[in-house]
Amino acid sequence: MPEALQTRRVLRITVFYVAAILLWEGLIKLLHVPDWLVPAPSQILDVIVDKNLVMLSHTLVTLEATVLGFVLALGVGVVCAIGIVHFPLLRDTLYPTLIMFNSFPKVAIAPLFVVWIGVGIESKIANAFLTALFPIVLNTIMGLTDMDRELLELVRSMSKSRWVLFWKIRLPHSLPYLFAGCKIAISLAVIGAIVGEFISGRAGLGYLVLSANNYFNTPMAFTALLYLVLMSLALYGLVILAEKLFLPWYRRETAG
Amino acid sequence: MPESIRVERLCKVYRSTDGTEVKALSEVSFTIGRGEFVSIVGQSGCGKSSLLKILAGLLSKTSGTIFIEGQEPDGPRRDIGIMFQKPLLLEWRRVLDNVLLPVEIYRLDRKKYEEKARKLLGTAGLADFFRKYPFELSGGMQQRVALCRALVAEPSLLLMDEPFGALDTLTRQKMGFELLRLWEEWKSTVLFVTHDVDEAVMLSDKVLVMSSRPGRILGSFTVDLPRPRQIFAKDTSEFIHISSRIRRCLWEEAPDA
Repeated sequence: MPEALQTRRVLRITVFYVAAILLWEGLIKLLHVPDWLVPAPSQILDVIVDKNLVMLSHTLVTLEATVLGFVLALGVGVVCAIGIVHFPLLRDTLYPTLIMFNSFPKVAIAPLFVVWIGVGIESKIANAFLTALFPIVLNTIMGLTDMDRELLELVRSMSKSRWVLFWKIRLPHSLPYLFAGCKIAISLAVIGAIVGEFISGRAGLGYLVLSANNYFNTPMAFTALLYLVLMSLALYGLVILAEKLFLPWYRRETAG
Repeated sequence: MPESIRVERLCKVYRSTDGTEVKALSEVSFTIGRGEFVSIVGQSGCGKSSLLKILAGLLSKTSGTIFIEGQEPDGPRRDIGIMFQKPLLLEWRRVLDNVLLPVEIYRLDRKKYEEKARKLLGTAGLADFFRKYPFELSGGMQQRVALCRALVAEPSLLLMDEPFGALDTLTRQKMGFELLRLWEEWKSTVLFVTHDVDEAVMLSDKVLVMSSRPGRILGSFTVDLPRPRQIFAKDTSEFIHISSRIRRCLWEEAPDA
């Protein structure tokens, strides 16, 4: 993209958001909206300045549960996908089980995790893990199987070994699919962790949103949501960065 | 001339799941001498690809016998190189590593063959592209990489299934001559499947004409044009004469096509 065009885009986006925030601030002040209903951006800024350390410590709690759940889902998901693709027994047993698990709302299982593994971080990790697992498994399965038939024939004309086919062809071929799954999974992991905190949290951004709401401390709830969005975006950005780093050969559709 | 391929009364019948049978090849017989460049021309769907896949050991035959370098094909073998219409490069490998794929799979000495791969790519005009990824190359370049990959392990037989079919006419002609140049250097047997009569005549020592399904060999035409072939050969009366005989053979078989 030409540099001038890029600069114009950045400018346009910046102007849009600055204008939106100013409009928000203006409307709240103009209409005398009370802060327990909708806080003004300046009030959110106040909370950020005053409670910076508190916010950060809650963010770290949620971040830990999210990242651990996601990493666990990544490891288990890839192993499950490889197993399902290679062993008919797993395809007929594990695969439908996963689909079944995915098709009922994870929120409904969250309280059970509390019963089983307690109110600590483990139940939040379990939640994040379970929500993030399925897109990773599904995408990896697709990446391992969605291959050009003639490419498979070409390789089979050279070797009958399933190991060669897996290691040299299927696995690298699945990587873009795996990353696509990760992009969905990382955002879902955040949701999973938050749901866990809603149910039995004593810390974390999800807990903070809930308790701030209970005290009608809406500026605090908004601030917590803002941190949540920023955390989620940062994690998403990291996945994109990792993709660029690991798949320099992958030609992406440039949409944004 | 010693034989490279001998095919006798080869038949192939496909059985679909509902029990119906489709005869793809019927009593196909021919021989190809070692180092010969032979083309098979025929309409699409005539069983040319089936024939090639059977020779490559990718498909089982229904009846008949095949000998390649004196052996019946039985699964993967190192002395056969294959090239399809699509380049089928591995997009995560750079050009040089793509060419070296067979070397890795056959567990050959990478050092030794890397030299060879570089030389092949150089001959194919890709000396500046060793470190590029496939998506950075044009379609013609990708197909040239595929050709180098097919040749790197020094196969004694090269099977090509409409390898230049997806390219534009000019690129296609150039690729043909590049193939001839490489072939004259490495001297392997080539079996080249195409539906383009001019292409077949331009490249081959012998052209086999195949009927529409079930595929049979309708005729075998020897091309006596001098080598190395040049693009101007197309305008000679010998070229025009032989390609018109081949066209007539194809045409008479399928007047309604």
